Amino acid sequence: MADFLLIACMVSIWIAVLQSIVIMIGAIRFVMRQSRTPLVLPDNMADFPTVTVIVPAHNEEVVIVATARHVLHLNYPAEKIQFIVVADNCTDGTAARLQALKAQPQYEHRDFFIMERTGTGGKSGALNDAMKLARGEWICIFDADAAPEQNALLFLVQKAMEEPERYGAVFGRNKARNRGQNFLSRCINLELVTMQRVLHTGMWELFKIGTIPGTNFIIKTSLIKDIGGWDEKALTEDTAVSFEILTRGQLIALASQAEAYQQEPEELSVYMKQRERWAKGNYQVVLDNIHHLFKPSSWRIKLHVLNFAASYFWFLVTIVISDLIIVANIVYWIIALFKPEISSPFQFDGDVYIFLIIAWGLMYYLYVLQINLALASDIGQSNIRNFILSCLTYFTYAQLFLVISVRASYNLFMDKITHRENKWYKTQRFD
Amino acid sequence: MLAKTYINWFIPLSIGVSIIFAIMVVILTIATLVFRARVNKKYDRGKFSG
Repeated sequence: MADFLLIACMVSIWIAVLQSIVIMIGAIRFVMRQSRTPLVLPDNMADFPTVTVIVPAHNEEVVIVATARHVLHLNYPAEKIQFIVVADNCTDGTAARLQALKAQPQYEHRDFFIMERTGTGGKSGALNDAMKLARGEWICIFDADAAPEQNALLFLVQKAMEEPERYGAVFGRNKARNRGQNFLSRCINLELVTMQRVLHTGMWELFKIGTIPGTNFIIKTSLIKDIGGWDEKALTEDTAVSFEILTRGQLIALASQAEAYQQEPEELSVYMKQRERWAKGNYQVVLDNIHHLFKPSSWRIKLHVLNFAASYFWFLVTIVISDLIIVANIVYWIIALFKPEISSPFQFDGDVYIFLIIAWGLMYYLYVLQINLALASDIGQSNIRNFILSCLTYFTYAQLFLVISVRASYNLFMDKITHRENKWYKTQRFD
Repeated sequence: MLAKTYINWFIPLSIGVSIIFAIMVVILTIATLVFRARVNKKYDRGKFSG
């Protein structure tokens, strides 16, 4: 049994290492090509499509005015933007602050609507209600804490116009604006940068596969209406919509130059709640879409499902088992110092155990390398402090993923057997 | 019995896979360092810190 577990673990780690290598090859090809391609801003935007920008906001008085200002100052023809902020079940001053902003003379002529809503459905419900009023050819979503750079929308639309028939949605990059706040926000920043600059770019470069994040993306209005809007029961409505888009044969393109800053959790309890929701939501999406593997769906959907299933189930189980083997052996070695007659149940023949350590070492090295490739492509982030942090996070921050995943799996299981309703926790903002 | 026989094929497989991965990792490291050097040169990144 122990030998079988060891072989299963090693083969799984090899597959995880191979996955990392393949994605990194794609990411390097992407960043090399991008670094040679100059940014081009159009002189004339007369042929650019109309866009409805929607910002869902639930008790966001701390950040909402700054976000609205960023949207109103985007480098995009003002007459082509319909701006809707949904003040969703707000009990604070969100709507009042927005009304005060709207009343300012410089925004009088703007198509700017504040929708005060009391319905259900959380963020998805707010987006669905706003979608009914959308007149733009594309819908653009920014979270209430987003600070899109001036050309973010322009770059998103520019990418969409490259292949308007094929691209159903386009997403940009999100950056942590409070990355230097504390150890947690620095770690989240490394994760975010790596996801955006290695995982997303690698998947797009090699397979033309993308997943829309919750913010800083555009989607064709006709497409989201055809999908039936955002799933109000989904905890990660963005991932659920991504699979729907791919199922309809459309692609989710990456516009890497469309950048927006967002706020990340600064407290562990807030972080754990947010990530547990994401993990539960992603598990649910994998379970809802696993059937594609056994149906004549497109290879992109199969690969996407497989990637999610591997990342959230298979590799996770492998890491837990291999960690248990290593920890059990260390404990038994220590006990054996005092009682030599006791031996570990995980005794392996020959040098097999050495190869488990080598496989683990390769995985760790690739983890650090991926982060540092990502940091190298983001101005000002490739420094000694972040390098040291990238080496340390595997043993600290990354291990939280295990705790989160186990808790999320347990809660999802309990939700299923007790028919408990999913709760959508809004991430707390910080001043 | 199974434990005794599997190492006959598993250890050579482990050596082969480890060597291939090690070579790939070295190539990726060089590519990452080349990219970093190029970007640093282009933006004179030493002036920033984050």
